[in-house]
Amino acid sequence: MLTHDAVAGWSKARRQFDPARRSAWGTVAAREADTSAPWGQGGARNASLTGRWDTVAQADQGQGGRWGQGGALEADAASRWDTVAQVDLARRLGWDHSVKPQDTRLRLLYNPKPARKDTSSGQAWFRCDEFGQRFDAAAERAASLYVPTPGLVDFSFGGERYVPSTSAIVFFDFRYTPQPHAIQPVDSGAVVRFTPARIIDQMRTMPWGWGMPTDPRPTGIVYPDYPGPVVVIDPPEEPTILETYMIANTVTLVELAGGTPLDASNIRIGLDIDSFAWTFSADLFGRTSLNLVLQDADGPKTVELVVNGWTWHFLVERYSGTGKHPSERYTISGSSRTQLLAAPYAPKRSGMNTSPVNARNIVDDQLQFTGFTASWDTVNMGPPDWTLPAEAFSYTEMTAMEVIHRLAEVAGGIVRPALADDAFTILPRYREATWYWSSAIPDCIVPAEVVAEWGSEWSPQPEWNFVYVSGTNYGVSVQVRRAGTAGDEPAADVMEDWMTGTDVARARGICELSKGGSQAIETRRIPLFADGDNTPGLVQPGMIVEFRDPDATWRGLCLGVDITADGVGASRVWQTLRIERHYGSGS
Amino acid sequence: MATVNPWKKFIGLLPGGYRTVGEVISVDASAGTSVVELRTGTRVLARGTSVAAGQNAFLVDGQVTGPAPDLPQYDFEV
Repeated sequence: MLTHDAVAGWSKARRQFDPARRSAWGTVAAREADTSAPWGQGGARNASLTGRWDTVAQADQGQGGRWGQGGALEADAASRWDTVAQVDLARRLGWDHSVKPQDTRLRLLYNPKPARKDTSSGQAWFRCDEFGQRFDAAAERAASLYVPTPGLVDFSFGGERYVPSTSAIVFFDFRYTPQPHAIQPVDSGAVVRFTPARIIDQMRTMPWGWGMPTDPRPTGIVYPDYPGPVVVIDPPEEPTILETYMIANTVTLVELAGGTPLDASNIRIGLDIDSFAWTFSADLFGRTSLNLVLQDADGPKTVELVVNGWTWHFLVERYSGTGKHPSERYTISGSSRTQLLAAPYAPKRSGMNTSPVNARNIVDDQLQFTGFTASWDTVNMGPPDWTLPAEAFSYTEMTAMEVIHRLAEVAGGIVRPALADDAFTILPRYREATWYWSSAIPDCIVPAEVVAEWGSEWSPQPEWNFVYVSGTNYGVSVQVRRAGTAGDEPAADVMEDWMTGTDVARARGICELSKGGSQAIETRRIPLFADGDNTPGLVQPGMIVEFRDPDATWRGLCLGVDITADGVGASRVWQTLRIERHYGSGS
Repeated sequence: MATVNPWKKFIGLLPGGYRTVGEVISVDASAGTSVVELRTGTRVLARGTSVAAGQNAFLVDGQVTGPAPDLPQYDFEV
């Protein structure tokens, strides 16, 4: 038993800083002092040993007590930390409650439901005695009053307030106590409902979507079937490429009325795209030939020129002569018979339309009684016809050809005179826009093998992609923009008095836009072949010509042609072409 | 414009002849000028006070020559 106790005490001494354990050491030492008595001799030694052990134990106990107080201090400090944590916790909760309900209220401001307090207050009203007899407080009060009958009993209080006596046998008590009634609902029929407001201008809402598209809505679909009016143009014959071209030129100049040949040389004729008449000049030998073509009482004479099968009729307008012994030389010049429609042969007129009139009708009207005919394919070839409203077609001091030529210019067209007939054709200046020339059908093909002389002159213009075409007093104003461009390079505004149609404005816009861009005026001198021999033949202004140069094949617009027939008899005949060549995209 | 016509070439060399239409913004009667806004939004000072403010005017070489009507507008893409 003793050994067992001693072992138990030693096992607990490991935790030396625990104050409770340390005090238990003191108690153990006392027991050992008591138990040391049964040991006898050994007990005395153990007694002294235990006494020393007690002293040490007391010193340790005192230190242990101090450690115990230190533990209490730490406990206080820990409690203070707990208090701080509670303060912070409260403040955090305060922030949460102050922010969140405000946001919630703001959101509920637009809630059509009434507030919760209004809902509860509304439920405090109960309906009672809703269908009972309606009582009248005033009538009920009047019914309760005693109204003394005059004569039998008459009360007179002498103007003083009557105070009923409580001691007398008989007394009057006039106090009126209204009978309590339940509240009767009065305006229960008036119910105020909270519903969404009426939508008044619903039909006036603007649907935002695709409006009037100036640009077509991009669908990515190519419409190959109908690109526009069908212009039937026969593709030109492929030229026959020969190693050697031998041409036996035939040049004949006769006076038309009598059929008398004229002795002529150095015949030059020409036409450019802006003119309405061919020009003509020739040298005559001798007075005899001159007398045949001199103007007489019937007006100027007409001569017929046949060059390699091409026949022209010219009006001999002027002549000049020089003489040097023994020879004399006369030069005659003239132009196509369409000149008869212009000054000085045609009268200058003024006019105005009083009813709407078409441009095509104006042309016919101007040509009335002149013997001239005009061909104008307003449907396929263009330029399109248009209607001029009343008073829009007004002109002063203009000949018939001036009117017609200006009409053609308004529409972006040209007047091409016929070679021999009293006729002319109104054509678009650019049958195809220049940016479509690569896919256009040319009128004739000129291979490099027949070109005898060539040259070029660079004459660029700005790359216009936008033009404003407008009438002045009547008509429309049209903005023509080249597709696929920003329209930021405007050409000069076109202001025409007779521009009264959108189609014609579009055609004019194409013409104006086609004039721009990098371009050159090319010159080509080729023979004048007879017609129908797989050769270019006569190239007239306004034609789209395909040139097959050794390095490139390109297409251009014929601006002018000059035909020379030098010499007499087997003369040398050339035609010199002026071609407008575009270097832009697609041409 | 590419042309080989001598008369057309000569006309092309002549100065002036520029015609356009603009809206008169304000008229200064004492100075005899008008502020005209072109279709592009650019404003120019032009001589002439014959057109009241707010109306369209013809401009020929920078001079107000007369009132211009309001024509219907169309846009084409070629």
